[in-house]
Amino acid sequence: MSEQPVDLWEERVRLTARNFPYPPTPDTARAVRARLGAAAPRRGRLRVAQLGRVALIVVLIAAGLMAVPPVRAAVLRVLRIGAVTIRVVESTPAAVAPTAAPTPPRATASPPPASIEPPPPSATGAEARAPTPTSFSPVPHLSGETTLREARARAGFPVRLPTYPRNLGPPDRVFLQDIGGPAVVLVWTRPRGPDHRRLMLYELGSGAVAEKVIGVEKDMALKEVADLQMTEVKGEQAVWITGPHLFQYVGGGQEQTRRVEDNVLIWTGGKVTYRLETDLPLKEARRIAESLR
Amino acid sequence: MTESELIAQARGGSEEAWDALVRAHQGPVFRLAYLLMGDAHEAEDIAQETFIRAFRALDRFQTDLPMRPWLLSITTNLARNRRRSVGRYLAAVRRFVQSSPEPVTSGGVGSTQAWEAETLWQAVRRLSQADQEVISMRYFLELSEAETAAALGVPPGTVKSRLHRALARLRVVVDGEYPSLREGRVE
Repeated sequence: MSEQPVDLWEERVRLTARNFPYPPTPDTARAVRARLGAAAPRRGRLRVAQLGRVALIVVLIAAGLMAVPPVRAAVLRVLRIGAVTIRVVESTPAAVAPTAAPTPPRATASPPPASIEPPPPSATGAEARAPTPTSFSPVPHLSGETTLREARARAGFPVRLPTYPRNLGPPDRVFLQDIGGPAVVLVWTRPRGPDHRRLMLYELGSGAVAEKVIGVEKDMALKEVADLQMTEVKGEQAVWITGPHLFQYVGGGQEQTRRVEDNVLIWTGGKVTYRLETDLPLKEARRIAESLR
Repeated sequence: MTESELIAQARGGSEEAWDALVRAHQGPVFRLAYLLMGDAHEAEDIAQETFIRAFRALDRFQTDLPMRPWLLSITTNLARNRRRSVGRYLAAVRRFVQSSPEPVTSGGVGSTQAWEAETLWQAVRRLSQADQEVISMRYFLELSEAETAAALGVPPGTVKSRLHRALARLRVVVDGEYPSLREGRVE
């Protein structure tokens, strides 16, 4: 035990601490202005294609992780919808390249939470089968499969279901996961009729935190434009992203990429953040969102 | 222009005045967030969130008070909430990584001092949230006792006693787990 009296110890701490090597302070003023500006318009279209070019990479990062993919790029816009933060950045391929995620230590930590999308069988995960006329795209491999009753009991928030379209019924598959907080994923896989489309609804409870970083990248192989649009659901601000786009997820010590064919609507209702993945257009997606009970 | 005048102008809608206020305080806000979260990316996010909230609450802020402690109290609350919301597993990973006793810093002039400071910080991170807050503010950010009290929303006497206990707990951690810091010199 140290022999130094308390006030000498205090002095030691004081003189040592003042040399702390902080990382450089980022330019907060610009980002704050962008975010305050983003909050204002209720409806407005941000043509991502205008800003740089053509391909869109959507990176989903579970906040709080040690290894965040380096995004050394100018932040063009930041949007926050409930538990999901979306950053639109101007990026180069190197800036948003997947990095090796740290292997979580097994010795002392409790088992890692089920991640939302464990690595798909293919090496890159970026390939997807084109949908055939009579069946849906395969559901991405999800862990934590359970029943609706179980999910309702354990989620810690009321799990709501869409009541539109009227013949929809309960989901075919239900998943319950932990990304810092509970996440419930509801999937409707079987076609209910000729007009039935794909639906996948994520409900993120409090504590679950997620981020999307949207990089606008030049000269990418995927030469399709994806749009980001502000909209609203029941008076709350919402975001609509039209596909197809690449969706990269870093969570639970794993990292993978998949191609999302569909559109995504993100909105909040009370303390829950919702993410609807569907091939329906915005008007229909909003109807579904507003029909949740 | 005084800070009160800038605040008044920012309330009136002046972007330049608001920018000036952000620039004046973004350093300490970011640094406190970094000390409490241990991650520059999260710290940046919290820093932005701090100013967003401050902007929205600007009308209610008493302009005769200094702005910095108020901002830092927002930062502290955000950091507390963030850390609570991180799952147990993620918190365990972070603690494991930050418990490594010998951090690597780049060489150069003053690098020994930087290394000592970083090691000390890793020891601080083993303490409770409340201890980390008061030590970060008083010694790392070098706020006065009055500023620390205002930022934590407690009387100055409370800051004194919290510091006293936090320093004692810090010494136990350093003596036990960071032997390289144990023999030091007061410069």
